[in-house]
Amino acid sequence: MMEAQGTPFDQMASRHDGLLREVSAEYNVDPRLFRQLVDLENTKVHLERRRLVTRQIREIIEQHLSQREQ
Amino acid sequence: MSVHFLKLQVKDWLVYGGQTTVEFAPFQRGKNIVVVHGKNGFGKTSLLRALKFLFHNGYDREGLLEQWHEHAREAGEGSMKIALEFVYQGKPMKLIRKVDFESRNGTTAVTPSVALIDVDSGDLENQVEDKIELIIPKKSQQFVFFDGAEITRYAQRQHDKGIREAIEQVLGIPAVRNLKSDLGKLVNELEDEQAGIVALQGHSQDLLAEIDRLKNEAASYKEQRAGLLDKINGVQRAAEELEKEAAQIVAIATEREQLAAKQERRADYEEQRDQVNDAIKRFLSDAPLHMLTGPLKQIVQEGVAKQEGGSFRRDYYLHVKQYLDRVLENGQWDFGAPIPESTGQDIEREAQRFGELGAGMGTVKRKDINLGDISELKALLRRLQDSGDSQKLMDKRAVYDEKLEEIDKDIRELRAKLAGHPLLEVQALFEQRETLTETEMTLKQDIEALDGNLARVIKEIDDKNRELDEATMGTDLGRPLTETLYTARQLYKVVDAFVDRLVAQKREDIEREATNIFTRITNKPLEYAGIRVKDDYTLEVYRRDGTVVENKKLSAGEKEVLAYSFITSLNLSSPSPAPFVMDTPFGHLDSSHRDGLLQSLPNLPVQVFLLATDRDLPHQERDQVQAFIAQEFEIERNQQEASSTIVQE
Repeated sequence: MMEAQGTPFDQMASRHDGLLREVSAEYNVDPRLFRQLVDLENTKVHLERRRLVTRQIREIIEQHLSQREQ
Repeated sequence: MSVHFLKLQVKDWLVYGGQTTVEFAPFQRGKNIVVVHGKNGFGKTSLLRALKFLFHNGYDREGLLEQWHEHAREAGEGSMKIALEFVYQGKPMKLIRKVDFESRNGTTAVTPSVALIDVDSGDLENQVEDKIELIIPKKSQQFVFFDGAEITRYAQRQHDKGIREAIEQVLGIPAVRNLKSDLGKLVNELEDEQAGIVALQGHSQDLLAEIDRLKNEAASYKEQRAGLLDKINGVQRAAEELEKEAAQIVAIATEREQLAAKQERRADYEEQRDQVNDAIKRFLSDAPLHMLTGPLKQIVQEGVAKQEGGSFRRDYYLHVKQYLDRVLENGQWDFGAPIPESTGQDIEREAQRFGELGAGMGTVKRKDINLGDISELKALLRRLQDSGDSQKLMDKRAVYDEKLEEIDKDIRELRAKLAGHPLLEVQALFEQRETLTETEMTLKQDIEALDGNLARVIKEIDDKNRELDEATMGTDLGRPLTETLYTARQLYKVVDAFVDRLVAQKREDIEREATNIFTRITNKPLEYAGIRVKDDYTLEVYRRDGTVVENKKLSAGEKEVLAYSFITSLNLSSPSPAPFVMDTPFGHLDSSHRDGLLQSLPNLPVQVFLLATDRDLPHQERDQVQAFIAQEFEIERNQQEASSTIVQE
């Protein structure tokens, strides 16, 4: 979520978001899925051992695919 | 979404004895400055340390004991505590870091603890340290809580070495890099599973073998590519060194040329001064004759006119002799200049000659003054007239002496500069540089060729994978796996493209915002155009004409402004900008820089806590930003109890 007013720093956040959408579109990937994975990694970035993260990524992808099918 | 502080409690921490509570006004844009006034030693830095400690306990047992308020420590038991209520991602949270001190068997047991509470639900969060690390990472504290001295240190460090890791962490880049690595692992795992299914089905073995072979080939190309990149880096580093050396040679050559020119000019001056000296010497040796210029002229005139005369000059000769005798007796000329010893002998000789002339005048015959004598006298007169004015000669010599002294000083300085610089072979350096350029080009061509091979192999792998995917998609077991694999591969490609573009975009963002802040604060806005962030996140200032300002040419104050601009833009470029807490931030800044910095604060979309003495923020400067001040506090000191508290003004 971005803050209401458009300071240069909000614009930065917006550009970041724009880039994420742009690159996702280039590879025909749902940007929400990509963002979800980035958010997951953001919560683990400080950890030296990121156990089970590959499994979590797989689950997120599988869940995304099953929701798409429904 | 930025972090906002709501309420701070400090108990028995450093100078704060007992409990002090400060409540902050809700964050409001444009009215975001909170000033905490305090005299030296009253507790500004203790407050800064409290916040640093709250977000990261970097103390060991002894360190914790040292932070405990001295009166509480005397009691031997008790606790110290820092607690902060704040808003993070729109959620009110409370972070408490507490240390219990208990006396056991003659020693003090120190037990630190930390708690993070969701204020709305009252629930205690788990994995607290991990969560704190997400709110304000340890590495980025330097961009959030800082003092003037820290800015100074950062300003120096900024120019020496990039702190890439910390900066990238603040910008959220490592998470994306990690995602790429994790997706790579997942793709490998899924491909292994797919291979298992293929094996179970007993077909496409050749396809799998071919993919393995291609993968090995790709890995080999990647390895070769990495090796070549290393070599290119080495070549580029060597080229940079050579360029530095070449620049040094140019500088030395210029200085050597200057030295040679100065030495030549010195020789000219010396020659000219010697000529003046000779003229002075001649003048002095002719001094008696100079005194006789008038009589000599008369002699010549009269001699010519009255060559037949007899004793008409006797009295005059005797008069001159008397004058010379008097000069000799006084040891100086009538105008006060002393007579050198050698000249004295000349004068004595002349006096004697004039005496003889006078004495012999009675018997002078027509033949005694002949045409030859008159010609000699005429030549003597011309020489005397040509020898110039003594005062002018002295002045001229003084000018040359002065010029020589000046040029000698320059020569000494240049020699000192050039001492220890051996004569370097420029040509050899240029040749080496050329060889390096050629090597670099060859390496780049090799990389291009490898990239071509790599692209071909990757395409072949993709094609084979597609064949394999088609084979496994047809089975119940293989279909979901293949879909997951396909999506993971696509995501890997997305993140691969995203990470490079993200780094470039973040650097651009920082560069632009740091430039905005810097140009607002600098006292040379007409000269400096902005800040450039290099690949390793070190900074350089460039001028309006595009030239780069050498870092060593920046003053201490300018470096601090540069560091401040960078730190600010960096914090604000992070996904969750934190409040700035600045303790006496104005270090080396002059009034113009201070004004600029103060004026920039209201534009920041976060709370700004200024911990300032009256010298840091005089009334006049405070009045300039009054409209943007949300609250002001004063640190009061009870000197009897050696304890400080914070009160709102």
